Amino acid sequence: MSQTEDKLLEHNYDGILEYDNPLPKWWVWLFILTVIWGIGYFFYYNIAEIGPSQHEEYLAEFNTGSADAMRLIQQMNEKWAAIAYVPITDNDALEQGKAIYIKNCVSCHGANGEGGIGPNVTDNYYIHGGGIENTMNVIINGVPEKGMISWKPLLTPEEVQLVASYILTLKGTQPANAKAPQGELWEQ
Amino acid sequence: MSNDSTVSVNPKDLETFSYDNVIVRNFAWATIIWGIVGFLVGLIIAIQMFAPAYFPFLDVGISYLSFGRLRPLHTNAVIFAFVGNAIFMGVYYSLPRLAKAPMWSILLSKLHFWGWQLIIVSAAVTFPLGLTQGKEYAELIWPIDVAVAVVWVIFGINMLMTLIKRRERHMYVAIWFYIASWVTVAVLHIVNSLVIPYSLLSSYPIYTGVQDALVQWWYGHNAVAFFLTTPFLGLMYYFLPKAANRPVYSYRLSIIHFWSLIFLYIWAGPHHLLYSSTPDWVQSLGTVFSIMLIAPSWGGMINGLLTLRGVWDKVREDPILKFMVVAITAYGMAVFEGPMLSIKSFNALSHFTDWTIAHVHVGALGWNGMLTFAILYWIIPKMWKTDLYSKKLANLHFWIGFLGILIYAAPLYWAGITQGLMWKQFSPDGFLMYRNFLETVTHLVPMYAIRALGGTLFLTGAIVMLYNLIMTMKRGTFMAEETFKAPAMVSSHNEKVNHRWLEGKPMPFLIASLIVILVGGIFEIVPMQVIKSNVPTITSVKPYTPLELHGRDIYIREGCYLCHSQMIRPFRNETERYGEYSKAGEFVYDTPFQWGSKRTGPDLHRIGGKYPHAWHYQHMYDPQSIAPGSIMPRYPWLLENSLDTSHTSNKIRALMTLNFPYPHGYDNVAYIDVQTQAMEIVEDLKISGIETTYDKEIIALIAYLQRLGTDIKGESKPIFSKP
Repeated sequence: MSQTEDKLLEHNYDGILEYDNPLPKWWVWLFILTVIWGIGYFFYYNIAEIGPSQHEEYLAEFNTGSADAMRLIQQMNEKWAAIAYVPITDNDALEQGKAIYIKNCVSCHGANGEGGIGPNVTDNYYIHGGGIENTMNVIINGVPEKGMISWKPLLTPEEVQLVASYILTLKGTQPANAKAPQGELWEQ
Repeated sequence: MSNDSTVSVNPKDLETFSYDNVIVRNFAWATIIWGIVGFLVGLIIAIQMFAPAYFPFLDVGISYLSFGRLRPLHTNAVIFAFVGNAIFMGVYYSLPRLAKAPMWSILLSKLHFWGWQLIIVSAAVTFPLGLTQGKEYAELIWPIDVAVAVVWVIFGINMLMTLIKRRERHMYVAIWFYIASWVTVAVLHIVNSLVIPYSLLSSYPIYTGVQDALVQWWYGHNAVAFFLTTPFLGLMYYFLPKAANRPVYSYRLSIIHFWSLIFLYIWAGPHHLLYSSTPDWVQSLGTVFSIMLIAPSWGGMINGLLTLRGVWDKVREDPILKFMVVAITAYGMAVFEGPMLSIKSFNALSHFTDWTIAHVHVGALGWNGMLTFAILYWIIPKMWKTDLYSKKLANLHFWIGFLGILIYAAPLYWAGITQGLMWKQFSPDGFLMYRNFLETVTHLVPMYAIRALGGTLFLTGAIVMLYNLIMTMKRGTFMAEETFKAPAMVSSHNEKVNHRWLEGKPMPFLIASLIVILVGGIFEIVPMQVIKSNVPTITSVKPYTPLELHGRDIYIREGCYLCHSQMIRPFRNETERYGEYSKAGEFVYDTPFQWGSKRTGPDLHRIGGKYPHAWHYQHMYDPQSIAPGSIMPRYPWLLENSLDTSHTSNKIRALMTLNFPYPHGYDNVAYIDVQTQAMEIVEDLKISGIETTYDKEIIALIAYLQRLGTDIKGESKPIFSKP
């Protein structure tokens, strides 16, 4: 690409001249290779259908995909299966439960459990039953028609247990601005 | 001024004519002013993205100033006002000089100029009012779209007639780019703007769901190609050899890269829809054609940079050449990055993140911005017959502009990669690591603040330029006209039919480029419209109720799609986070489609039924009260405004012309269902202690959000009253 190769063409546009230089070789090869790659790609995925489709790729993430994903899903299922419906009373653990409550629950159930968008969790009345098991199940499965989301994708089994345990400690605290009771009186 | 010296002519045969500099000056002023406005609005919305975290008092809850309404103003101002006027400035300067003929009609030039400015002003009024079509870079409402088409045709006639009346036999490469850009933008604009108006200002696109997405991104991608790229390549081919005083590196390269570029570019649109509900074959075409575009795009960069061989010492001295080198380099980087982002595995990480925003700003600030500044610094002293007022200030502008681009882009690349990885990360025990979307946002807020600093620098540079150019104009005298002499065009016979021949034929050239750009579009769009298997039917999917439709139009008005996607990709991390991945058949009653291209907030496709009505009510009033740390703006006016139901029946009628299966005559009774459904929501809100009335906008929006993504579960059964 030294200047001696340059040959001016007889073009002159408002003083602009043009050289008759050849296409750079590397550029031509780049172009040819990308075209070959393109044809190959389309053939591989969409004509011969050797490569996985988008949906197959998705399924592979679960089934034949990395052993990792498989192991993780299995682990997760085992953890949910082994979930313990026992309230925790250890103070440090309850502090953790409180932290989870503040992060996820206050927007609907109030900073002190007084209720708001969702029901009051400090009184003795329950729509879906009181006690640790019912509380945990409502958190895990949600009550979609009432707007309580399922927290299963968002909380771990341990976290569900911690936050449910914390919520039980709020019972009878009589916070300010408490929402009127909803549901049935629950007696253990 | 240089003369064509290849043929000697008898001075008696020379014709005298003059170039109109007034139109160039007007477009130059428009470029500068709208540029500064566009950058400023960009800076305002950049600040809005971190302000809620640092300065919550700045969110005053004024609808006209909310992010969702100002963002289209920013993008449209920069693309169509700043870059658009820069194109016209460059074309009105270079085209007559290359054709050796004045612009065909000064009247058309004036109509073009004032028409275009009027369109920009009407955009600046309608966007803050929430009048939008809800499709990115095609937000202008239909009456303005019609005006755009008219003005565009005026520009085209003026350009073509100038070419027909030219004295220079052959058209220079810059003109090829002007012609191809003009004809392609015309096709894109018309096809993507086909709508059914339901009122004087509002309309629905004739396409729905997947088809609308494909047409929109065929348009959107090629607006980048034929508005931001090819016209600017044309400008580069004129102003770079002029400023450097060097011959263009290779004529042959010009020919090959021009035709391959315009042919291949048009196919690449679907790379905006990777891992979406569009069929796999369309997505693959997007990927494949993007990769094949690398060489043709780089052809322009090579021809630009190699033209500067032998004058690199000048580049160190001359701020104009410095601007040009950075512009061409930014172009070369952006057109390599684009194809990389079109590879599905890269796209899986980058899409919906700030990476996209960084990428487009390297192109817009670097390529379009820096080249425009270079042209302004070259053209103004020429027309005012003087030297630039201060080379020092131009150098200062160069450095703060350059630094501004780096400080703008770097934090957003970091933000994009970080957020993309955070979305995907699973903890060792198989849970999403960042299950709350908000955690991935608060992480990025400092980066948004740094980005605004970069934008401030870039804007400051433009203001320095404004001062420098005004001072330049003051010291010179403006030449309203420049007279020139040239012989009439000699018709040549027996010219061999090759490319050189085509360069002498404006109309055949236009038709040839039209055919070349139509191929890709037809190949992708037509099968999507006619082959049913591309969008498998889901029988439980039903049209929206009239109230939901009103809510949807509010969603569009507030620009929700600019921060929220409605497209769950088929990845395990997305189905964990959002629910079942989105299917093509779910969108058949979505017009315009609202898939979005950026997730500043979470995806909303399966938001329906996830939260109670009261949650949405509270959240729209004050997002931070429900999600502390959220950067979503407040929408208090939705709780106050009464829903405009005057067009209920018109809307239903418009959709019935698109064959939406509403019962016959439903348009006459739709208003009853608006009220019934609204009352149900009001009753439910009352239980949660919220007192409101059925006629508020928020009720319609809640109705829409609660419907989203629920049809596929077969749970939602909209009831349509019998007429």
